[in-house]
Amino acid sequence: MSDIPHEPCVVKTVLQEGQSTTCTLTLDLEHLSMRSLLIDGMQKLVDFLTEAQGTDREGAVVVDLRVSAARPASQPLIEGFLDACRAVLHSWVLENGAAVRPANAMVSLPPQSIARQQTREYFTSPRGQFSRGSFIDLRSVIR
Amino acid sequence: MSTILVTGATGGMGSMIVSELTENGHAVITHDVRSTDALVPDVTGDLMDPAVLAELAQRSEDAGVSGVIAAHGIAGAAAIAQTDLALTTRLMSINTLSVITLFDALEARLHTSAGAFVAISSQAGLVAEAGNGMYCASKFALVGWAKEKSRRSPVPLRLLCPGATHTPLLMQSLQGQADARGVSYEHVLQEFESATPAGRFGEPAELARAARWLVELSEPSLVIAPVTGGQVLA
Repeated sequence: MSDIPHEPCVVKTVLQEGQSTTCTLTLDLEHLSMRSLLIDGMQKLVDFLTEAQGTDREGAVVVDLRVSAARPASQPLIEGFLDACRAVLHSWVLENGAAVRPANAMVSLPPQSIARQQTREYFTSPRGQFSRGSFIDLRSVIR
Repeated sequence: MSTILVTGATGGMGSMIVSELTENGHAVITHDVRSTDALVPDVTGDLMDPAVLAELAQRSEDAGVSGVIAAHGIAGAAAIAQTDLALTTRLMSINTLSVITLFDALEARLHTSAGAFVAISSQAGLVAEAGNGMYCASKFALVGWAKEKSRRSPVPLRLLCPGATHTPLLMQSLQGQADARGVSYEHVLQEFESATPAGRFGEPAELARAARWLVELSEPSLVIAPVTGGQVLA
């Protein structure tokens, strides 16, 4: 993947009133320890959601995870991390579903075949398509 | 008679698991982070400490351990917005990373003895909860890891996912969730009880029997067992 930066864990957030709030969490597992992935990666996701909570009330909240790993041995850890992300996102929606508008939470997760370095992006969520506080896990769609 | 390693052996669930195993003819090596009046574990210390892990691995090798039940863990309820790095570090280190590290340290021993590795996950590892996000994440991570690891390891992997069970850990968690949501402890307690089809919380002894069943089970290679009074089935 040519767009993976040198930093092992990078978060780029785009916060715009009235539009989608996007968090791009880029994880380069070639340079991330297990501890960094499960602790620093998770905390960055939490920090993003906390920031988004007070900013966006109109568009979708999109978490775009980009994971790079050439080592198949990392796969169990990656799956654990992705499931942990699902838990945090779902908890966040449960905590804030009543306070935010429809189509407000969506996560774009990479497909399982990370060892083949595949990554996709899903940024758009048609407003109103999902019910209040919906949580969409796109892994089932993009596999 | 087989020898089983039990971590978290002084805890509400761990101590019951130790009793269940010994009453049914197993020898047990016990571990916990510290001793209590009731039990002085065979090995004490932080599982993330390489020296402690090495001692556990050596003792397991010497005793021919043929099963592991990782029953250690902590609660840590907080809303996502109140989750700081210190809480994330504690929950992910103790509930997730130390379990994975323990498995890695004992995988070869268990492969030799055809033994199983059982970890106590949680109902919160299957369904997320408000006011308990990072705890859920630490348990979800175990489930995701185990599903994929079982495809790559010869060692049988089993996750026990208890629902609400009468342990000090649960009471601590419910209080934390109540605080995080700004409701009373009794309110959260009532929610949990009314949401359980069985109409009651589980008892540690019941979970201990389930843990023994899982560690004795020879097949299949992966079992994720919710014991939740019917609240979460899969």
